[in-house]
Amino acid sequence: MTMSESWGTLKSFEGRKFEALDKEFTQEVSALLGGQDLTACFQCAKCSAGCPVSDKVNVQVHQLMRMLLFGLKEVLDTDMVWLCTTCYTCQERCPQGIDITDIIFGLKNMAFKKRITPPGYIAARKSLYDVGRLYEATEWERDDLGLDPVPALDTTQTRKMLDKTGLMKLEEGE
Amino acid sequence: MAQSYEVFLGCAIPSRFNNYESSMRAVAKELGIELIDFEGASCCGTVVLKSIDETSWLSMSGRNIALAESRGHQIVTPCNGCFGSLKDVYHVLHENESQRKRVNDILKPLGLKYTGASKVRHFVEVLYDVREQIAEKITHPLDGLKIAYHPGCHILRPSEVAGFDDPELPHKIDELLELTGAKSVPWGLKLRCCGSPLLIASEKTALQILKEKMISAHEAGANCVVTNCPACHTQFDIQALGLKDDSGQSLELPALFVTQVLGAAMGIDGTKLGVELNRVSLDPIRGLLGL
Amino acid sequence: MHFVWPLRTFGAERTMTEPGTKPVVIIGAGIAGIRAALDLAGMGVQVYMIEKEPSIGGHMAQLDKTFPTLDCSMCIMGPWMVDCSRNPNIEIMAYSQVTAITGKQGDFKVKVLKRTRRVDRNKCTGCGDCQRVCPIEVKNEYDLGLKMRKAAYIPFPQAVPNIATIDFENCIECMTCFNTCKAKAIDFSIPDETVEIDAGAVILATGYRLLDPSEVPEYGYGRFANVVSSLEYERMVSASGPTGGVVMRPSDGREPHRIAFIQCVGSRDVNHCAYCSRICCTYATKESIITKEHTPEVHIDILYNDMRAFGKGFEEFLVRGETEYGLNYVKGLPSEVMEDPTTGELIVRHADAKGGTILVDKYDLVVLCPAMVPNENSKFFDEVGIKYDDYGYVSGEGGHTESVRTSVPGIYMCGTVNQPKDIPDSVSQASAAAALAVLDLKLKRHEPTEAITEADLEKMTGEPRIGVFICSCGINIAGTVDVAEVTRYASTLPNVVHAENLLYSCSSDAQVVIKDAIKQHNLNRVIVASCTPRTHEPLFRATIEQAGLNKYLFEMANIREHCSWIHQTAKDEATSKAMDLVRMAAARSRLLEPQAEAVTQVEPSALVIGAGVAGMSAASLIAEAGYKVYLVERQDHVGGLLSQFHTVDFDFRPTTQVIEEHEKEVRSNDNIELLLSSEVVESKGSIGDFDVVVKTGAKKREMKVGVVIVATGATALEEKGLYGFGKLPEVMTELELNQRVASDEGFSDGETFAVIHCAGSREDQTLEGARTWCSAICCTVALEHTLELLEKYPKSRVFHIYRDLRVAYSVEDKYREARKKGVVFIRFDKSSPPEVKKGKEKALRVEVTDQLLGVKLLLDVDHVVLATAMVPPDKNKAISELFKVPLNMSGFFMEAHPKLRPVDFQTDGVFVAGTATAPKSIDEAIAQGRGAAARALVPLISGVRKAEAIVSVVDPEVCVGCGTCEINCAYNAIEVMPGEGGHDYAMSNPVLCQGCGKCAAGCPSGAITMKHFTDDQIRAQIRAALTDVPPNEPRILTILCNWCSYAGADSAGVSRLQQPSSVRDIRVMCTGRVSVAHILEAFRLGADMVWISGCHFGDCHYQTGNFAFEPRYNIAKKLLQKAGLEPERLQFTQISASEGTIWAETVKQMTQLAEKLGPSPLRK
Repeated sequence: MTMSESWGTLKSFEGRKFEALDKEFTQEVSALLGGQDLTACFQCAKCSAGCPVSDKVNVQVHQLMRMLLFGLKEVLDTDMVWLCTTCYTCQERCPQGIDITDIIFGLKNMAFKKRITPPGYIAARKSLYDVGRLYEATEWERDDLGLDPVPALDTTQTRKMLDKTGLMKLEEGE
Repeated sequence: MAQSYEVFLGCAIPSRFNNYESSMRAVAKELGIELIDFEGASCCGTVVLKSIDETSWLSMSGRNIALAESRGHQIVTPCNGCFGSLKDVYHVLHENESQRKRVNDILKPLGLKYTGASKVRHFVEVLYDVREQIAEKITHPLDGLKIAYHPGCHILRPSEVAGFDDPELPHKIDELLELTGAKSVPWGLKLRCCGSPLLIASEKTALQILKEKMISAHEAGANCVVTNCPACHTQFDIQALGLKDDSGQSLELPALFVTQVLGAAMGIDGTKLGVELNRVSLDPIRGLLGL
Repeated sequence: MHFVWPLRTFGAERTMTEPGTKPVVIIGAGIAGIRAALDLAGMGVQVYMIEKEPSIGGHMAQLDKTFPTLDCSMCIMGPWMVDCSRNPNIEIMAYSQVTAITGKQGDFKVKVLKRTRRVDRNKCTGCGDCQRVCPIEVKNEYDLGLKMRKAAYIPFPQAVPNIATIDFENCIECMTCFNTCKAKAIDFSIPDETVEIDAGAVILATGYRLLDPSEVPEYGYGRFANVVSSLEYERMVSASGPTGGVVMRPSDGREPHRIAFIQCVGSRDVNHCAYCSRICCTYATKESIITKEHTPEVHIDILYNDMRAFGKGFEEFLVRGETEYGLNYVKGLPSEVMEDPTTGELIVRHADAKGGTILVDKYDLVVLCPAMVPNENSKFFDEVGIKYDDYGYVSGEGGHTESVRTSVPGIYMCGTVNQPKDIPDSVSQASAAAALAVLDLKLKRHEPTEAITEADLEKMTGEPRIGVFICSCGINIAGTVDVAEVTRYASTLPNVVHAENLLYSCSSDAQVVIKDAIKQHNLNRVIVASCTPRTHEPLFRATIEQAGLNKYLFEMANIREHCSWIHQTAKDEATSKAMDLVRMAAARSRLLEPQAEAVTQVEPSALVIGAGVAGMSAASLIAEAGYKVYLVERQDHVGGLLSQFHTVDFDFRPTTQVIEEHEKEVRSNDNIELLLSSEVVESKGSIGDFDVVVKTGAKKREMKVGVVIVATGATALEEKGLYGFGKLPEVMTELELNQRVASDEGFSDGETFAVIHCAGSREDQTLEGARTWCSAICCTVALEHTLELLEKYPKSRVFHIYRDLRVAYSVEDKYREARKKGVVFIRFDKSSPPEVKKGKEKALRVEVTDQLLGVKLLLDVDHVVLATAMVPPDKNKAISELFKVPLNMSGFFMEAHPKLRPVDFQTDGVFVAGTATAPKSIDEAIAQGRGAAARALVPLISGVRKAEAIVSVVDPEVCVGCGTCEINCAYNAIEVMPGEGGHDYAMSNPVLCQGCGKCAAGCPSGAITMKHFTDDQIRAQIRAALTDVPPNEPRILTILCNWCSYAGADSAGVSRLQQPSSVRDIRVMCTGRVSVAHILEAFRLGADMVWISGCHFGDCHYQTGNFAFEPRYNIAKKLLQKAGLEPERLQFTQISASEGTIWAETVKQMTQLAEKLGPSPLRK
């Protein structure tokens, strides 16, 4: 399936109505790494003001936070989740000290489980599992520069570890 | 005085930017910084794995830290991504007991344990420690070099994790660079993300961000961009190739690593600095660099 | 030059002990300290004011204008500063610091370090020669370094005390100033001094400072030239500021076209100051409006998070900013400010959170509104044992209802030392502190009042014998004006029997000379030709009084500020102008009469209407001071609105406790008579003796009281149909929620609540009978009730549906706590309020569009709670008529001045407190009650009320009883009385008359004489001004009001702004005094131009004097045309006390105009 279908499907709030705001979802996100201060958000929008992609996304980071406060699971369908560059500017400057970027990492985890993810991540996961690295060394360059080979990695070790964390079967219903 | 570190190269440098590694090693040698090979290192996991599954990410970086710990060494890395990832994990495992326990259970079968004994540092951080020494070694001043220095996000933010420089007004590496006689020019988007983490999700968006960065660097009158991160460098030295603004003007700027700039000023031979591997032509500043 | 206590000095160590009453020490002389000092002095208490800066005045002295009235700050505050320096009960110790406080309540020892100015304060005349010759320039603190000062300096033109200071850190001891000072006042050897004061009480008023904006580095302050702080900007827009009121970009002096204000710089930010600084939103709006009035085309964005306005009329002020002045309020804080190095422009990327769009805007200037932080005194507070909170502000002792008593008994506080607050709150709190302090003292009886002596009468009947003293003021006058020549000329004037030149007429030895001359030459009139009467008249009046003359027989000619200082290069013109001014003074002097200030005994009792916390606080204090108090309450119990709530305090303390504490005080005091279920039904008389009738049930009762305090409170709105209130089940007010939570009725855990804010508040002004005001406390109360609900029913789901969440200072922490506890805050737009409907799953369905997401939220809730408006009781109307005190359009009482006189009415002797004037919190209401008590105690304690001697008197023979005067008087001081044979006539009440003279000028039959500013006196001055005018030079006859334009001309003089010498000015108290006849007289006598100048409209010291003059001005213009004169020959301008530059400019323009028009055809 193509990227646009798999993630960022919530394009606008035009005429949207939401019923029965889900308290549990807000609490679930608050329990994530960095989620402890989530609900302290008072919507000053300083996060979006400094966000490098806020002018390139359909749903800005302060709106994403707003959706979390309202307990709207639809947040996982926003492009903001996967277009966060992880630059931490919002988190660094948040007047309420909220770990915004870390919270978005948590949302990515949630989305991934629901198969809402750019395909690149699926490939990356595979290579991390198979070879324990994202990229292989370019040996000829290293030879030219007289660099020693990159120290070897015993991938059985890392695989054993990642089997334990269940990296390869995160998706719900597997 | 000589310090020794296990050098955590990560994946990107050996794959794309061996010139960064060789210039790092050359500069380290000059300054008597001992770099020990990091046996059995895996990928740090970086923001990619953190995005997929935080437990796996904690384990992956946790394992790397625990490895160095098992050998009683400190860790140094020239990569912002690895620095950010390793330090972030170090921070989480340090602060969060349940996570520490969880990860140590996972590491146990590998005969590894995280206690926090091995600290994580960035190579430029180590360089800043020895700035006086560097100043003494400057033999080929780089007057006229106008550097748009790009610190990169994860060496600064979140500051409570990175704990290196002032997150709003970073100055340390600028000081280092200016030891060479070069000028680190103030530029509007200096602290703005380079966009590289989006290459995996949306190359289009990554390029938009890069374009804004390059325009800002040009406006500031810089004649090169300098980084200390292979991920950022991917943007400036690979993605930027052939990049034009809306009027068709080329937005390319020679892109160098901090270690290449320092190396050049120390009179280290260009081939050792791997300058022929820099993609964007260095010709406009070759003279200034004395290469 | 001000009066000081005789101090016994032992070397550098001095002890001051006063017989009888112990003095009160006030630490900090900003607006709060000044108000407290004046109230105490008014009660006959001696006050030491300790101020660390060289001048008193604090921050307010730096402000250009004040909101919401846009009064000129210095115009309304300057007179108070001068009063402090003149008041014999106040000693100002500026440039000094308190180093230690020991002792206990009623008996403190206060150690004060008087830093040496290296200037003898008793010799220095404030002439400013030293600062002119000093070669060293340093940044001046007053203009925040935007302007330079010298190492020898007077901080600003209106400085009090007006004496020089040598800043020794920067002084190079070149001795130039020493050699220049004719008064020999400079003495580098004067050491620091430590004095110890035996004090009966201490008041802290140490104020605040602004957070250094560079501590929020992302906004670029200190890195980018065109990023300035709001206080710097205030100086930039100020006429007296470094740029003369023209806003300029620091980088290139260009006038900005686009300006952004950034709110919450360091405030509401857990990385800096977690609290809300309370005043920034409103002052940013004020500074924007001032800018817009100066240059309407400027584009201004105000970037905010919540728009907050806490004071009376502030909400309406913000609305005006948006609708009338076109300010753009943009919801969303920027993340950083970037600079375009080539243009100096600032690039601000910010979110329009309402529209969900990202804006990248370029501005010429960015103004940061930094957090208010307390001055660093924690070490000192620790030593004294004064408790302060985590943010460093001094906390009141005993919960949040106490804002005046500190943790140390006998030490009180006022102003921003307590927490961020606005000027009106600081001022009422200051009066409150004064009232509490005075209770710790043994009060001495008031001194007898002087009446006119036989000697005066004798002298007055005799031929005028005038003595004239021409002052050289070192070289300040003599350097330009030929004083010898002027002295010689003065001696030739009719009735002048003695003329003498003095080096410094204000020096103490000169006073002796003047007194001797009065005796030796048997003078009965005295003229001093020196500087401005606004500062020096009291000194000379005192001098001639000591020589047995009535002080009203004194006259001044201002040949310094209005002559020598502004004509420095035109010595001949200056000399002849000085002669003219002396001649004018003599002409007036000849007609002066001794005056006695009307004195009324004050009935030693008070009437307090309303027994809420404000009324009870006022009553207890007055009673404790030993005066009878009648406390009249309509209901059958005390406590007012508060008694309907169960809790309002974040520690969930029952309101019954708060009320009981006050009730206990009231009931336990024998001086208080509490009349429940009672109403005031009649009232006659004025301050000192009111005859009131109080009705309890059927029986009426008459009583005499000296003063009245109105504390009638407010009520909570209950409007049927408002969000389904009274129609749908489970729609309740905060009151009901509060009671039901307290009594566990009808709630069970796990239910859902929707709290709707601004229910009936902040309504659109265009609607009929709209409640336009913000009710100030609802957000706080609603939060408190929600937190209490969650304590009892932790599983409750609570939605707050709001517009701007308005909580001040540390309640911000409670707001955060509520959010962290899972309370969901939904922001709605004024244009799309929530809808409450009958529900299906649950009792109610609330539909609201979230302003930030723009999505409609459908909430099924069990209960809807309305945070309803606070509204004035209907009874206010009756009270307003009974005591002739005004209501505003909302139906709340209108205080004398919303900024500086929050607990006074225009009508003296009647005071107001609490929510009667506007919604406010309990601690504010209590502070106001106490403040009103202080204001009431001033006449009560002195036992008599001295009225102005400058009052109007009506000649009943001439008066036709038309009532024009009655309608025009702002003080109810003059009314038409029925006379025999239907010949009604007006009578003025000297006790209430404030002496503006509006009535006299406006009287169609010329029946009213304005004492001390009679028509004869003014005509005489006009005549004198226009005799033998050189044919070749233009002559402009100018009449100025004492408070604004005359003061403006003074400050032009102080700033040495050179002007043409064509103007001859006459000082009156108010332009309202000027009649058409005066103007025509001047033209008849050949004036080329007549120029009247007064306060800006709205700034009039007497409310409406300048408005009263305007129609006369128009009539006079018409008459001129009829007479064939160009109407341009008559001019009317408004120039304020701080607009010296504008004054000087206008003089130039007027002169050019006069030259263009040529000599008047009527010239002889």
